[in-house]
Amino acid sequence: MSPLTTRVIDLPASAAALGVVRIGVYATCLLMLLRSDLPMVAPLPFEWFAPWGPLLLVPDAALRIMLTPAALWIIHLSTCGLCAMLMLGARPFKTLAWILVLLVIVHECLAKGCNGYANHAQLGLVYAMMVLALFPCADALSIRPRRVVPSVLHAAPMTLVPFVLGLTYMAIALRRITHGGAAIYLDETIVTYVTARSLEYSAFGFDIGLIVHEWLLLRAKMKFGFVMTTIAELAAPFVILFGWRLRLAWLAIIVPFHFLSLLTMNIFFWENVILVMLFCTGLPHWIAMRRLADRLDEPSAEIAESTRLPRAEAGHAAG
Amino acid sequence: MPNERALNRTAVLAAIGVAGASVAAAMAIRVLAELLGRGGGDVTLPQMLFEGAVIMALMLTLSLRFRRLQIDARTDTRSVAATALSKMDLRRAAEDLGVTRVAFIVAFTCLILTFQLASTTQVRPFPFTHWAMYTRPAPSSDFPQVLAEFESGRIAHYPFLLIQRTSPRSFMARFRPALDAAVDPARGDDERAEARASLGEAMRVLAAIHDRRRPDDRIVAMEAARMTVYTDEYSGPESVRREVAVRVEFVRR
Repeated sequence: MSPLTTRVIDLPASAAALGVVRIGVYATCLLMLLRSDLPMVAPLPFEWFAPWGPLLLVPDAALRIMLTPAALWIIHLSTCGLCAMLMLGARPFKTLAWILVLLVIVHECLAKGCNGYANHAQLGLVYAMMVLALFPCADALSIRPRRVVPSVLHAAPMTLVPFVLGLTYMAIALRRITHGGAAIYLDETIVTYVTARSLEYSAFGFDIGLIVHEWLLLRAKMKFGFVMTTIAELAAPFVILFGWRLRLAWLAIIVPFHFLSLLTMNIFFWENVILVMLFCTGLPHWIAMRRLADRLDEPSAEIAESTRLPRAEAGHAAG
Repeated sequence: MPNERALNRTAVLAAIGVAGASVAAAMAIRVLAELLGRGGGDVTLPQMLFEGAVIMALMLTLSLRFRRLQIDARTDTRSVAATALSKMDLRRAAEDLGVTRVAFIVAFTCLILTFQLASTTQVRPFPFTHWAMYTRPAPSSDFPQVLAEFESGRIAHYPFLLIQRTSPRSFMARFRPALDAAVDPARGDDERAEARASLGEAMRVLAAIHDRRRPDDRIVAMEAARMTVYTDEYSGPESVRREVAVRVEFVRR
């Protein structure tokens, strides 16, 4: 066995665990797509639309067609449909997975086209799908499973996806350190953010963050939490590579951080929380092992069928 | 035969050391830029140098994990780093994963880091884009507010979730330049009038979208304002200043 499997990936390769991951990632994507409801942008004036990414290359005339209700519905439904198919493990997996990546990018660029900036909540998920599209994720727990020997190709995504996700966290921390410097941890920066985010209109409507103005101790704790979160973000890719204890300690900081930022700032990257729980807790391996254990306990229909005598022979024997 | 546990520990130490050194170097460069009067929002050269250091640190870490270093675990961190640097190839990983996958992952890593750290809002790349979350010291404490008055007499925030479910705040940010221009006394009268007209037009579009979706309680008036919070002495709504940029009333029959 190569160093990659023995050192980087600390859990055994398993096509079933990768199948669980595939279902989890594409189910999250489907939820995100259904929630974003792309055809909603149709009534907005075309002049408000400012293309992102690949749509910068699309001529205005074509963009106008893409932004008609019919075209938006087609893009939305085909993206959702393909996502559901991949969740079930449709083949050829890699080809379909790359088509979905392109469709999701177009979908997101259209959905965010009238926004002042591209919010990043969905990007971790897009990156995860790009990595999964490189590997045979439909070998197990799919509509057409294959009998395969577990290999490094089944184990590698378990490390690479959280590593890529960790990179995004790390880059945020690096940018904060290099652009904000130490001052942002010492002054009232985080209190200002919390106050403004609690007062303005949002999708969630929490204003719990305002209590930092009532309790000084809480304000100090929030500043300390800001430092701790930055450290956790900075360490993310390294922690993910180096074993379970560090990984669990990281989870103990980053998961509460996501929920606290929801309550205090009305910002919730629920897609990232699902990905982190899926890839950093060993959940897919646990589900795969449980499934295997259940199969061993109860003989499968195939085994039962193969051990049963043929009807004619059975009748002959009885006669 | 190297002691695996000790080797792992040394590798972790080496990786953390390099990452730490990268951050320290970036900070030093940033301070130097400030001293030379080149500081400010986006310092291009140090940022680029910093990116290089970070990418090197990541590559070093990956190489340490991807390959079994044939060294004695008792050797010091400096030797580990030297060995890793001299043997930094991804040959074994490429054998396991395939060259295409390894090339993709390396390119992918570089793209994520480069765009997250170096790009600005002027360019609009996607899905590789810059993530600047809570990076500005002394951030502005103002935000837009769009209120709607309904036929039922209710006054509430305009329901931007009708238009943008995943991030209504990023949609509202679109109106920030016009809103700032409309209330800024430093701007000329013409510029402010133009900003108000454009905001008024936007309010009409938003009201029409709302009324089409919820005809049972239509909007009769809308108001766009810039809110500024005094966070240092916040004690409730009286600590928020409201500057109305535009008010639009609709005649309903």
